[in-house]
Amino acid sequence: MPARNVLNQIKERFEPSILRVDVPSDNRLFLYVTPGVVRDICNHVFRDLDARYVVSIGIDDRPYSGQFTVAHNFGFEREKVLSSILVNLPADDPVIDSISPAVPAANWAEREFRDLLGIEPVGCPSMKRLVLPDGWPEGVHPLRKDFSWDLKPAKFDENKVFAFDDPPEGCVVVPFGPFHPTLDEPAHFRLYVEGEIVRGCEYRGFMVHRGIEKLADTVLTYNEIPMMAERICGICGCVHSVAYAQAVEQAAAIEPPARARFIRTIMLELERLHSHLLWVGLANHILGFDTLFMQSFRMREPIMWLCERITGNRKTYGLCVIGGVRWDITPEIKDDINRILDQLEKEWIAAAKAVQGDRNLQKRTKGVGIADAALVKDLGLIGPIARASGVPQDCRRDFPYAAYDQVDFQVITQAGCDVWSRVLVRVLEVFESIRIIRQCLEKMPAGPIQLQLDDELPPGRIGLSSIEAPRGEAHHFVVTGEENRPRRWRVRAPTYQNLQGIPAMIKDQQLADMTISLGSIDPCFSCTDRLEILDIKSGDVRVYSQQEIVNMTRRV
Amino acid sequence: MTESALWAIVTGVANVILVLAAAPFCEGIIRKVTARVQSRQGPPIWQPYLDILKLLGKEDIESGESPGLQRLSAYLSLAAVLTLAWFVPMGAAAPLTKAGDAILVIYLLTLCGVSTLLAGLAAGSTYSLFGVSREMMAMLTLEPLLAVGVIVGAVETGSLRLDDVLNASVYSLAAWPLAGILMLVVLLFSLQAFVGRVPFDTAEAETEIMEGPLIEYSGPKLGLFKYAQMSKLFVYCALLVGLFAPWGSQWPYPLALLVLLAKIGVLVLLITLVGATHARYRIDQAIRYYAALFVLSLVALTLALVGF
Amino acid sequence: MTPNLAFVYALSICLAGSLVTLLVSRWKPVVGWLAFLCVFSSSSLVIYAALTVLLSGAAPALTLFSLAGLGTCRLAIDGLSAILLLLIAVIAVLSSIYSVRYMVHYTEYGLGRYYPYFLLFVAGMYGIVVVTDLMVYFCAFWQLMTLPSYALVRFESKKQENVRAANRYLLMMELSCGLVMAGAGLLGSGSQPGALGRYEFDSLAANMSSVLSADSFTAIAALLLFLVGFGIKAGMWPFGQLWLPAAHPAAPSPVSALLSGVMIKTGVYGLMRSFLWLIPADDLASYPAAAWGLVIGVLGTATLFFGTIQALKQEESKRLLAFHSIGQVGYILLGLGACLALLPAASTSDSARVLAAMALAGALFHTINHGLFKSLLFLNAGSVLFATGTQSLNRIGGLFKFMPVTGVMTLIASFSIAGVPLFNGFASKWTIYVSTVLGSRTAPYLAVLALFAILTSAITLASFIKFFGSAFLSRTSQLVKQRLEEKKRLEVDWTMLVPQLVLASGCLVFGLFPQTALRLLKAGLATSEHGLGATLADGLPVSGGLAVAGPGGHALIVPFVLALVLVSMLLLARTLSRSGGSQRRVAIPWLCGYALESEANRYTAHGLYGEVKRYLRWAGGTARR
Repeated sequence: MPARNVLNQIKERFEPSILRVDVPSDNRLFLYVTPGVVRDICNHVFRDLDARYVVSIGIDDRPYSGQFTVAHNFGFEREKVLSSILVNLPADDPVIDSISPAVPAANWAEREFRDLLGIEPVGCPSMKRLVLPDGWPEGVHPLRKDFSWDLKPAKFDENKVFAFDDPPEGCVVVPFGPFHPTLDEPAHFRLYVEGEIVRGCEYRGFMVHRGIEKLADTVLTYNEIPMMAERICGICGCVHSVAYAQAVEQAAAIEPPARARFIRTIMLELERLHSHLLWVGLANHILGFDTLFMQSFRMREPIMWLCERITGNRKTYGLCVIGGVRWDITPEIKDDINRILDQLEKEWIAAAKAVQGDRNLQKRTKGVGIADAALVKDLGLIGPIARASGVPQDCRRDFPYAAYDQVDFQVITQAGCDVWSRVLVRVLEVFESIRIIRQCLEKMPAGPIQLQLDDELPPGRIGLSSIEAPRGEAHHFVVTGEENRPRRWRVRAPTYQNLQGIPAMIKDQQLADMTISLGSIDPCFSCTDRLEILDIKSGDVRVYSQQEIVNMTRRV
Repeated sequence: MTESALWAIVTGVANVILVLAAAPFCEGIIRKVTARVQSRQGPPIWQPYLDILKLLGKEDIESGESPGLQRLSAYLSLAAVLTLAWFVPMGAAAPLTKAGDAILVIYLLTLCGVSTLLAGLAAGSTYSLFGVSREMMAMLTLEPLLAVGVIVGAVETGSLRLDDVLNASVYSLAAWPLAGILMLVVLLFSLQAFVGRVPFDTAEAETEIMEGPLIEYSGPKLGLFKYAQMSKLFVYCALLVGLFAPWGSQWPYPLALLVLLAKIGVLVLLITLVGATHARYRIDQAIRYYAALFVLSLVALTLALVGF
Repeated sequence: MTPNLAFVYALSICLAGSLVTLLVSRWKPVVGWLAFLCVFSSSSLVIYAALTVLLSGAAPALTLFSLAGLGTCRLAIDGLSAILLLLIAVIAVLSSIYSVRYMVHYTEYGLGRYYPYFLLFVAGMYGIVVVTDLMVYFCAFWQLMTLPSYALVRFESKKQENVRAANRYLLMMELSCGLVMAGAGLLGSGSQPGALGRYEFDSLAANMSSVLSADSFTAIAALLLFLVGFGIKAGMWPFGQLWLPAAHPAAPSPVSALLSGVMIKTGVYGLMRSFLWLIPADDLASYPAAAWGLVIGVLGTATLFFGTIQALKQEESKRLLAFHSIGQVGYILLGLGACLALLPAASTSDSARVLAAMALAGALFHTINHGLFKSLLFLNAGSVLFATGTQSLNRIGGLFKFMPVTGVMTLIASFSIAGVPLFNGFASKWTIYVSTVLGSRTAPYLAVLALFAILTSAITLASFIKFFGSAFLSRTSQLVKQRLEEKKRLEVDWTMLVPQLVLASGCLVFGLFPQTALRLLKAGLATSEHGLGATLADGLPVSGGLAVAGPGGHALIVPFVLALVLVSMLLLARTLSRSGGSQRRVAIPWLCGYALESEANRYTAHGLYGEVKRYLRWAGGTARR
């Protein structure tokens, strides 16, 4: 009973402060504690029990229990347990001790619930606004239940200017973003540069925060949300829809059929393939090496065709529903997958060899963007960043979901802590993904791909789900609710944590290294900001066939 | 007006027309071959001509505080390269051998850079000043390399006149022209930097400082800068050919020109392939690279001075 | 009126003027114009004297008086002196016009501490280039030059650092004086005191033959003393760094212009006199000219290299210019060194003779050019200081819009010093490069020195791109906006612009028609009395541009033709850019869409060339911010 073991360890010191314990399964643990001990207990869990900080969530539970709730989520990798430490706060005075002094990684999450719910984290080292736009009036908290989803605050001040810190002596302020060729999405970095050396930076993001969490708990239904979740991100959409579905399934104790779990695994790995190939391309583009960028995109294209073959779409697959998937993998598709994987593997062996042997590339990436294991621990950095720092951390192995417990794969790690190691990790992970998909195709049982769900899902249950997205752990937190929709849904994308490591990674580095350091976390601001990406087609009536487009662009 | 002055004007104008006509074509080749290396179809080979025409007609946004200097720097960028064309042999002897020598050529190349620097400074954006800083740092370390090439030639022939120096003079003295060959290597290794292409396009680094000095330029001014960059590539290649491989330049006119164009074509291909297979260096790495080349060129100069 | 007499009148006017200005110094509007009048009349006399000498040959020396035991005070103006006198006179006049308006802004300090010293200082410089005695009267004129300039450097005596700089300046100048006198003493001690005195230049020169052949150690020691003594004055590495960068920025700008543009040239003058004119023409065989050429050439290269690198790191306008003075003196020394290195071959080969003459002409030409553009630059910096109240390049920006005339002048001066073709700096540098590159057949190391000189010229360009760019271009700084609100108008008035215009046109004329300068120098060499230097005059080729032609090598530039081509190409480019009929629109620079433009976004001089500065940390030269 790993969850019980963890509980007992915590109880050794904090028995009297624990109000309630919920252990729904072997690998989930929910702990309600008194507000006074929250910092100590988090410190104990984070430092002494060596748990990884995941995210903190503020919940407006007033309509149900008359209280606010704050949940601090931790992952116990050795014990394979995901846990929430929950605190109930009085409705009239939602104040909680900040855990950021003990757990630096919690800074953003605490500022986020301060912005959105008005829960005050006392003692938080930085209390600047994080999520809400500059002109948003003080004291209006959009995620509170009494704030209507379509309300526009009256006193919004368009001309309000954000108060940034003063630059250090001798530094020029270089604005980086929101519109910059290296950034595919908007975010603002205020870089303090002396000569060519970056001495520090300040981040202002969340420019495309669209309030989808608000929509989910006011407008959408359980089975509409996966569609929305998929549109959180243009790259790892499937990750979010599966993570959401799994969180709901865990909360409601639903087990999707085995075939559905295999299909989810295959799609997740296809998504990792195209994401990693895209990243290798973009990283090289940032470094000015456009040939590898173009070649990598060329190799990626068959994967996109494959996704279209399986789901009818290159992206936004519409795959996931609660309790299963929509699209099956037929034997013909299976053959296609195998064929394309073989081709990709062959090409990628050559590409990987070229990348690994490229001295020019190494010169630009070795020793750049250093994030050592201590930084990984403190800021809760995840995914390829952690693995490139020698921290063998992978949700697929640590908190197995879908069909990952039935396939054999390796967790790739590198010890360099730099961009070069991150390149290697991603390059090598492509081969692991190919292996996983092949095993899935082989082991996939026949059977239904969806559960028939007739009953209303039980309200007030909490579901946690972590998925190893291409960029790291994507974590979803769901409180089930009434009217066929959740009470609270919180998405923590990998970039949310990794981005917090950027100031430390780029400090005292060349400006030229800043872009690739930022690129090395494969930042996905839309995940972090949680928006919809819309592809607005022009009104052009000419429709090109796929082959025509290919002929125009590609040397066949 | 004497006959020789008339001849100088005729050949000079011919050179200017040649540069203006052929430079976009070289750019077209570079784009096409790059696209092929990247498995792309690539734009039509005449696209650069269309680009320049398009830019000449587009809106001209002047965002600097001294628009006069912005205009001047744009004119100067093209004018400096075209003036340089009057001092480089292209199918015939260099038109203005009687008005300038090899040292002037080095300084005219610097003048091309100065126009970019002024452009960036006059625009005044944070990014353009980054570009200015980088461009100048590169010029600092690059300019002496060409100077050594010229000095080696001058040492070998005892003359700085263009018609003497630009005649493979770098090889002339010894049976084993070590200095000349070493300088050829040095200048080929720095070719990419002189024409400002990947991996040495740090001053423009689109993904970092968004075209650096030129970020604030649009329309005809951008067109002039682009035209000047293409022309600089052409003229610089012609200069290298003149310095190291002028064989065939004494043939009758159209033949000599064709030979020159063929040799420039080879250099253009080289530039393309190097550009397509490298990542951009950081400015500090680039400086160290140039410094290493500078040391090599000092060796070459020493060799030339002791008679190799 | 003989040149000598005119010169004596000029000296008297200066001395009398200093007394008068002291008396009326409280009457602020008048004292400046009075001083200008004195300088103008004395300079006119000096220019008259110098031109007369250049056109009709050196006049016999004029004996002023003779004191028993102390030798005779004689003044002799020959071609070399005349060139220096011309330079001093022109810059002195311009600087005194500039002072009229400029000095008014010092509200805390009285002008009685300025104009009297200014006039004495000018008189001292006039005297030092014509006095023929190398002991007592040399010392007297040296002090006449040094003590008033010491007072001028510590003009702003409430600033502790200025007083310190002045004290150090005084110390170094006295050391320099002592070393030169020691050298003269060493040479003169064994000689027969002639009618004019033991330490009279002519006596020393006459004595030189025997010293060179019999007692080479004495000759070496004495020349070494001259080298260090005058080298300190000229700002030669490593001595220049000890005083020059602190002293020149401390003085009021018109005086800085005189110090950098003219005064340090008296050191160059001393070096030329002692290494070329002190040696009789027929003693070349026993004079180790090649060795001295190596020493001075290498020292010159070190001076130009280190001085310029240290300048590159500076962030204060006048301090930057002061370091460049060291750097530019390096070019002059390199020319002198090359001339010495080529001299032994010059007696046998015509080509070496041409190149040696070119090298010396290059050194002299650069002396003149540096006088023009460096004075101009100090006046530019003075105008900026006058308008904004700061020397810090980090705090100013965007001045071109508000001070367009000063801006254009600064651009011309910056291009001149950076050696951009068509400007005078290029012409003189070209002369030095040609003589060193082609001279490498005689002395191979010269080509390496030339290479470093070319490299350094790029560093100079970088430094002035920074100077001009961060002061006049970039974006308008907070400080400039504030000053604009206070004053409404930043451009300086005509009395401060006229000297700049004159200097700038000088830069352009010598840049476009370098042959005029070369003619002047040829006349100067031809009319300088005797010694090795005088023998080079007929070697100097003068043509329609700058050119060397002959068995020793070929090189030529005709800047005027180049200008024609460049202008026609500019017109072509302009026509091309207007041909599409595109519309112009004004906007503000792009800052990625979120940040609003602020003072913090201005990329300042501190940031420029960060990586190069990092790699050159070993070369010294601390920047003040």
